[in-house]
Amino acid sequence: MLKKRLVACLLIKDNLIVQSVGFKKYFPIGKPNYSIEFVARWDVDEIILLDISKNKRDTQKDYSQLKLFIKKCFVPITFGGGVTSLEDVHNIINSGADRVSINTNAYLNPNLIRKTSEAYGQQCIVVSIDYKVFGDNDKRVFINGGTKDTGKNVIDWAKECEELGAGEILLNSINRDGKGNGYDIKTINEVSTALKIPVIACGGVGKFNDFAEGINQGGASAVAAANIFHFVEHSTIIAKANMLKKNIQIRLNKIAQYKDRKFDKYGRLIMLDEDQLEKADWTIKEY
Amino acid sequence: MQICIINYGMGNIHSVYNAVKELGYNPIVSNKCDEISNSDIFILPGVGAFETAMKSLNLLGLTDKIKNQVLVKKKRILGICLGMQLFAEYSEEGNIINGLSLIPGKVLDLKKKINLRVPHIGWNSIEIMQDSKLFKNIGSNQDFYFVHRYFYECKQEYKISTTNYGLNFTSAIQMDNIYGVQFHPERSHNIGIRLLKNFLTI
Repeated sequence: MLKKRLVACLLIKDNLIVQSVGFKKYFPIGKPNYSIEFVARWDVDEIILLDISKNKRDTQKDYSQLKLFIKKCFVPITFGGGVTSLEDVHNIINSGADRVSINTNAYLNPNLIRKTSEAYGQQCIVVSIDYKVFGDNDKRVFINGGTKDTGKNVIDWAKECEELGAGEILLNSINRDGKGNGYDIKTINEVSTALKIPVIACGGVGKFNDFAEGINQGGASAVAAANIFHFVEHSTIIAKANMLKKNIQIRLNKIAQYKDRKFDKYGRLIMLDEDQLEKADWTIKEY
Repeated sequence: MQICIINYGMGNIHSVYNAVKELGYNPIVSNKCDEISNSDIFILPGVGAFETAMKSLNLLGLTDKIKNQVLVKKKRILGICLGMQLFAEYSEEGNIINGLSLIPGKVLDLKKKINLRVPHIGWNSIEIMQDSKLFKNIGSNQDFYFVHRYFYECKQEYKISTTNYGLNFTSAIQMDNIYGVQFHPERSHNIGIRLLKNFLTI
């Protein structure tokens, strides 16, 4: 059975992992290879790395850093940020990423979606869509890092992406980015209902309970978050244990213990007691 | 023992290379005929479209080279994802073009067969159909990472594992010294690395 995915969405700005709030403020977290190794080792199902450095569009594109960042990563990697051509796609895949994520340039040049899909297969291309909700039902696509309103309806654009050959949509709510008040379930549901390709929900996770809602109510195939993974100990394990509790089929690694974990009303992990600690099997399995 | 990751210009070469390195081996990444002749074990990775990949192999003069090494010299090969699909006679993807024809079969479009979301992306479990050294210390129901739209249709006797997504499709294949997996072991965490180790130590 196909499992639902827990995705860590990591933002890189000038070679540092950052935390984003409303696409406006950025707080530095640390070096990418540490964050990547941490989430990969502790059971996240996929990593989406987005390079949001401002100056990268003007300078010579250099993916040698990417190669280093993901050297020790043995879970799938999607990379995005400033992808403008098939040559960029080629270099990203050659640096060790599995898929590319394209946002602004997919909107400005929809043919790039088609070309990437034809050359690398549909599964290789994720179109990332940032959107803002105005009032009740006015949902518009934004580009250029959430700064430019295209006026385009988010569902219309998502459908076009699917027709052009996108393999998956990464749907990111600007209103909810960094706010921690949960996913925009309504829009996630509208988009995933309208499409036959999978949708990754992103933007707004603040509690570990939020992930299950994105899947059970939103209909997403994968749930992503960034900030929640950075500062909480055992964050990926807590996230998965919460999903498991809501009967979501997920990949469970034997290294981490999920089943007997208990949570407080905020979805925080309650420490194991002495007796449980003694019985737990913490050995890291050899290949 | 020389391991060669065949580089035909498209594919997840780097991640496969990293995974093999992690296991303590020193693989070469090559598309040169003499280096391929001098190697003992091959990995054919792949991310991309069937037609583009075959054209690239043909252009590099690798199609006959690989067939000779695998079918005549009986050297071991592992195809990963598209790399495995290239073992077939042809694919429905893009314009029809001959594959490597290593294991009798054809590559079909999941989208025409099932009603679920396609591509099939994510972690899915395998059901082992036949004993294979590839699955040493790996049981049925283990999850591997899949990301594909097409699947390998072949006779039951070549299927060593299947996976269910709207239908039971071939997730691993074997004919003598020829092995293929639809999933990405290099991206399937410890269990995937173990499978790669199994292949390299057969």
